Amino acid sequence: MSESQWDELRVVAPQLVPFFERAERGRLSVPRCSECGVHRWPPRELCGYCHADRAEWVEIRARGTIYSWTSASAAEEAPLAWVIGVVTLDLPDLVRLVGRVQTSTVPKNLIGEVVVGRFEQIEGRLPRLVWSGEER
Amino acid sequence: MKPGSLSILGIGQTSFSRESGRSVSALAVEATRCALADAGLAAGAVRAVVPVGGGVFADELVVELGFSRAVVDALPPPGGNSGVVSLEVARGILDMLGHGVGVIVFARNGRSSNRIAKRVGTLPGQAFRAYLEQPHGWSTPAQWYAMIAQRHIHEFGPNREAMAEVALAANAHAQLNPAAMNHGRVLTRAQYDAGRVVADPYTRYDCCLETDGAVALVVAAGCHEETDRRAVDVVGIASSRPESPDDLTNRRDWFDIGLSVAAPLAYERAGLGPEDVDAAMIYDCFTFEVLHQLEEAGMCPRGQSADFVLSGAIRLGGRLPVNTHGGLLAEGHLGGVNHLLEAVRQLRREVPPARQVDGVRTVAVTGWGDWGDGSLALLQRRAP
Repeated sequence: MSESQWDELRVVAPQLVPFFERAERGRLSVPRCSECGVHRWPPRELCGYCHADRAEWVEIRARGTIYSWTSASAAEEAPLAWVIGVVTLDLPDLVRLVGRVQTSTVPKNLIGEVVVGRFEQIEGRLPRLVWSGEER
Repeated sequence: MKPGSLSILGIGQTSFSRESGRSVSALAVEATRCALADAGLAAGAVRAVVPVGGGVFADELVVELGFSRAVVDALPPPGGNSGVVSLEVARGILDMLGHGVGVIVFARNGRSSNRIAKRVGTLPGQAFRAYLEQPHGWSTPAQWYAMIAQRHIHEFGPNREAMAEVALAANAHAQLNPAAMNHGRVLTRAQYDAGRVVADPYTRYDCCLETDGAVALVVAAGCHEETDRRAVDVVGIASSRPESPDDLTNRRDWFDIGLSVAAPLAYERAGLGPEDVDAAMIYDCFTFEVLHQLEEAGMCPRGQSADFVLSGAIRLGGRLPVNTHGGLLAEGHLGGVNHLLEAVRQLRREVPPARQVDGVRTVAVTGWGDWGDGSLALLQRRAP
């Protein structure tokens, strides 16, 4: 990732730096509150449950269920929709992450589909989370 | 009138178009002058100015309108909930001052220059937007809210027919409103169905207009002494945010929005219930959000808005006419402040007979903004 993108991230959103540092190594991780032990997302200064100000970043399995989705066409006549999903992670606590959903066709409905996530490592850009159907 | 209450004494607007050819402040000046003339008041009476929508400052109106240099101004937050919230802000300033009237004004060249894609950067939670959402292409209100609609379809069943009815009803009402952008542009079901997908399930005609124009209101606090048979009173009002207002994704219940909390509170303050509402001006940024807000404002149980709408309820002549001016979908996107104007016109009986809701006594106006901020105002005419 370009230095200027890191510089911007460190200044504008330092709370997200650990997520992207681990994402560069292909790992999905989220904060877990040091007081109440709850996994939480997105990263905030204080825990939304107990308002503690300390959390550890813990690696979690990149697997979940599509909670909702929509499409975004790249252009008016584009035949294939770019699908975006909000995925609920397989955790006891509420954690949902946004990512593109890899699909070869325009979906009828994706809610409830089990997906696994991986990070696309793109030259000059932040790693990007992509969801795809779990191989059975 | 009791302290803490608010009445609307005047309304004004410019024409609504795709290209006004005028500056935002010129639009604001015109709408405000109209509202003051409608109220029969001079600019010198104005002590509070509440600009809505971020397009204009009070500073830009003082010279041309002749406001006192001592006007107090406050800007509500960005987002579409602020049209209704502006009533609370104006009331707060006027209560503090103890005299004078307030001006609420919304002005925007929302089609020719300041379009929604430009404005999303002014909303809360930009770090989340920039790094967690936009890289995946999730960056516009149509896409955010489309996901709420998908979730509702999953939990309560398909609602394409109901969404179409919302769009068609708005368009039908706009045919009775010469000021509406879509006046004379009839939308057929075939056209609705042929609309391209914007963000599944939203297609072109599920999405509101973008508009150049301005609307304004003149308001007075409870201590204002003038009595005016055309005055409309805000008899109950409340606003609220959803859980996690800056983030939709990690919210437990996506149907629980600001309106879910604001509506019961507004009814309680007014001593009314949803059954007392004769017409509703609902913030219709997208068709599904009309369905969603009908549920959360208590007009029908959660999950049953499709049946409610498909019964014909929201058309003029139905049980609960919605957006008799055409709304954001078919009159114009004036931040939902245009919904307040239509509520006032209905209560004053100042709309053409075909558009008049028979026997209307109470009109509800909702706000919706950002990721579900919401509000409800209940308006009644003062004179019997």
